Amino acid sequence: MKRKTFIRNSAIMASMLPLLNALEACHVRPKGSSKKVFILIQLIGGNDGLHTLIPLDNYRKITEARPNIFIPEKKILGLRGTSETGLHPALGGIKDMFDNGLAGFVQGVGYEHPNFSHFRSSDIWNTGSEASSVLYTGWMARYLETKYRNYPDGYPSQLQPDPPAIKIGDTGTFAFQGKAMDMSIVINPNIPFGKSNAGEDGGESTSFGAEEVKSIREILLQTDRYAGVVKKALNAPFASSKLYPKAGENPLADQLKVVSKLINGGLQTSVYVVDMKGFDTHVDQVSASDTTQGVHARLLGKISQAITCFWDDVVHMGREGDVAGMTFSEFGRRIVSTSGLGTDHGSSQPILYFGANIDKQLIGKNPVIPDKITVEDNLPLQHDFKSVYSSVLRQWFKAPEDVIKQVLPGKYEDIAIFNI
Amino acid sequence: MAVISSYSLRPYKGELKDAELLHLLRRSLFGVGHKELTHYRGKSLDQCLNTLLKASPTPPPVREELSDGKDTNPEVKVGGTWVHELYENEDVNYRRKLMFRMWWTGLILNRDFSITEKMTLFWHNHFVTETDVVKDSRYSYFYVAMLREHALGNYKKLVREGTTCPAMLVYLGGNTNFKSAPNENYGRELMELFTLGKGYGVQYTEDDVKAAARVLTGWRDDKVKSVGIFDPAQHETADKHFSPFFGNTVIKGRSGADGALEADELMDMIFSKREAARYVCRNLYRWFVYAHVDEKIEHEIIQPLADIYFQSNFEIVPVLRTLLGSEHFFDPVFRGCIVKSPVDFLLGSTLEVGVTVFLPPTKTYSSLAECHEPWLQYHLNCEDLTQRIGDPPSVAGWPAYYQAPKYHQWWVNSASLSMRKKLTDGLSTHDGLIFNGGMISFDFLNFAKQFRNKADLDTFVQEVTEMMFAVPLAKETVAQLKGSLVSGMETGYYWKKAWDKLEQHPDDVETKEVLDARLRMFFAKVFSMPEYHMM
Repeated sequence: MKRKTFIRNSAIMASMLPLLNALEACHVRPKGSSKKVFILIQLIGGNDGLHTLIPLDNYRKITEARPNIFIPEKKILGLRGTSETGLHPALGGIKDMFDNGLAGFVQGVGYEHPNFSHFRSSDIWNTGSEASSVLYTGWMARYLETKYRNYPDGYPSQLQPDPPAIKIGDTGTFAFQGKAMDMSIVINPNIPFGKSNAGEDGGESTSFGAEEVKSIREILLQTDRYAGVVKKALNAPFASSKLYPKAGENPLADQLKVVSKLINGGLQTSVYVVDMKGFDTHVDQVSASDTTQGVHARLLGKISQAITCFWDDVVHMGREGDVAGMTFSEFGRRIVSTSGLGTDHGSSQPILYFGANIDKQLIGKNPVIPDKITVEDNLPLQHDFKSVYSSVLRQWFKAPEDVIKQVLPGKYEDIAIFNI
Repeated sequence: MAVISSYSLRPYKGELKDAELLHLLRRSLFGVGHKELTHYRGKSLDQCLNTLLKASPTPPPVREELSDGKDTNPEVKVGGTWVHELYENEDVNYRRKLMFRMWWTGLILNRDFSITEKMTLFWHNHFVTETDVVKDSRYSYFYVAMLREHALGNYKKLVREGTTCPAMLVYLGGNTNFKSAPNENYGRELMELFTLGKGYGVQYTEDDVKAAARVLTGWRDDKVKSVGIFDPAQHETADKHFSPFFGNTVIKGRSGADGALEADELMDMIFSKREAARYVCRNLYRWFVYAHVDEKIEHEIIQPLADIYFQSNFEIVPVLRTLLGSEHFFDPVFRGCIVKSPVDFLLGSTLEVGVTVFLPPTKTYSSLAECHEPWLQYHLNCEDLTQRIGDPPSVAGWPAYYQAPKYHQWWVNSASLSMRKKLTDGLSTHDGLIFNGGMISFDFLNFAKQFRNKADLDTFVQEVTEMMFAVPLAKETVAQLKGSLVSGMETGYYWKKAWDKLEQHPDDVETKEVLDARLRMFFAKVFSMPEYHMM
């Protein structure tokens, strides 16, 4: 794939997004120069990479290692420019983006001495540490700390009026945990921003405590330094893509919808984390009667739909040049399947990235499945995840080398993901 | 609308479950941790009250504490006490004041199971001096030692002693109260703020204030011995006449050394008024139960309590025992109804959860019991949160305890709440905050370990939230908090596995951090909830 330049072609847009013309044009140009925005999508539980980005040249070995769950070859989606690698059938939207030069994959991403514990491995990814060392801050927080010195003192400021980072969901992420505090604002898409939880305000208070606490809640809501700018951005007029499903049907789409609104509303926040649960598919990863269906298929389908909708918004805003993102998970899954129609924890995985400034689209080789496969085998490591991170910092965030080294001590190869 | 069910001071005879214990101990101690719950669980209410109301032993006086090597007083060796030694210059006195504040804060941080520290702070807020106004650090030390001595004792004695203690003589100008020109400052505050109050039928007159001032002429502070001394030459020897409110009492004027005894008679006169008992009991109620005293509370609770106080001749223990052991006190309507003062919030959370002290120079771990310098930072942080221990904003004490209609809501505004969050956020990181010589961070792992059912996620969250929140959280909020512990995994299985692994490898850094990382996120959220500011 040689798509280096961004394609802004009405024919492409028409084929990708038939309803685009039906959308009302309500552009809101962000204030000042367009700021770059990066979205990290965490897939929680360990995504089965082998069924996400499928090495067709290893197809026979996949059927031998996974006799009960492999995807029928003819259902695998082809990718433009290669016959050796395909996509899970549920990833139609991602295939379209790939074929249009808007998505790519890094193969075999992980780290030496893989850890198979959800918590520990997730922490390794979020702190950007080696398997054997323990770090106490998030990798992205370490980067943000160089851009927001002495945070939170002095912020919001004239030059930096918006939150350094935003996490969509109901809890924070380790990735944004700085030395002094969480550097993000957490926005729960299910609760109107600025409102507290159901049950906190509603109904009669039966104790003086419940009455008194209301005043404190009020002050806290008003005190949130970023409440104003976030609310303003959320409420800026914007017609979300008509492609989005109903609220609640696709939690990732719900989260990305909020991200769109915030970007459209002009927030200068440069990084968002969204996430999706449910990837820990030890059993019932596929449906017994049709392996193209089942839990994993539904999850991938939601990723595909969510990113497609989100990108539709980005295009509608005219911010294609400014927005990109990637997925990651605490690990991939085992090559050999379980008897319960699933897979156990694995190690390396493909990372999906998307955006309009992609350099290479398939980075790394197809993983080679060993001939004499055992249940202990895992996909080989090709790229340390920290080289993906450092490449993103270098290429997307334009971070200088000394900053990159501070954030991720160590030497990591530069992977040609983005070209800006 | 919340409604009080019981207006009775009859002894509470209901169950003393954790909820009741937590309510009692939150109000009487600073922070309730596992240690306290373990100590008090299983006791009857009477036994609990006995433990609470047992006075703590007298602590040793403040010692040289600052570790910068400079002796503040050449005669006093490092580790000795300066409370009896003159200071050679203001720099020395300034440093001693810091050490005094450090010492007092340290007493709270190392409190035992008694209500003594809380009562000491109560009396300080009620019978106020301000350290910076008093100036002489020795005087302030003796003032607090006096408060602590009488904390669970006799208020009449406290006021008598306090009236002529050097700190108070300086603070309210008693040391410039001469027969030629009496200074009414103390006489006024003695009645208005320290003993009788205003309203509620209290009707002392301006002349009463003047007369009281004349009774107290001739006292001054002795800078060598740090005591109050009486100078007959400066004492007004005429009779002092008081108003009908005081039964037209006449305190006979005395000359010579006997003039000092007039102060005793003044106390007898003031404390013969039931209003004095009611005033203190009202303040005690606001401190321990709830800010709002309406007519019914005044009639059903304050007055009967005051009768007990009056009949005991102003011994506080019977009052505390009655109030804290009453049906009224245990009425569920009062759970979590008081906003935590800065000391309750910051020192309380430290005592509730526990902290580690990391010493960067030696890279060793210590504790707040061993490492004293961080105590001063706690004091400074409370000052930033608007409660400067030893220096209330005025002789009336902290507004939270008297300023209607807000009362305790005075502690919380956008600035103070932001600061509270900043502190707990910082203390909830792995490195913690620099507190004057040590890095302080909450020791969540050790705190969490002590919950018997910690490995069961739902039970753990339930037990923690029940222990730490006096106002229950909404179900949705608890669910969100739980999310911090499982990083999006949809079962508690991995949480349990993490604890099992810790049991196998209790010292493994990685294993500890897997749990600690989640606990830090969880507890940072806990401390920032509005409900956490209530006790």
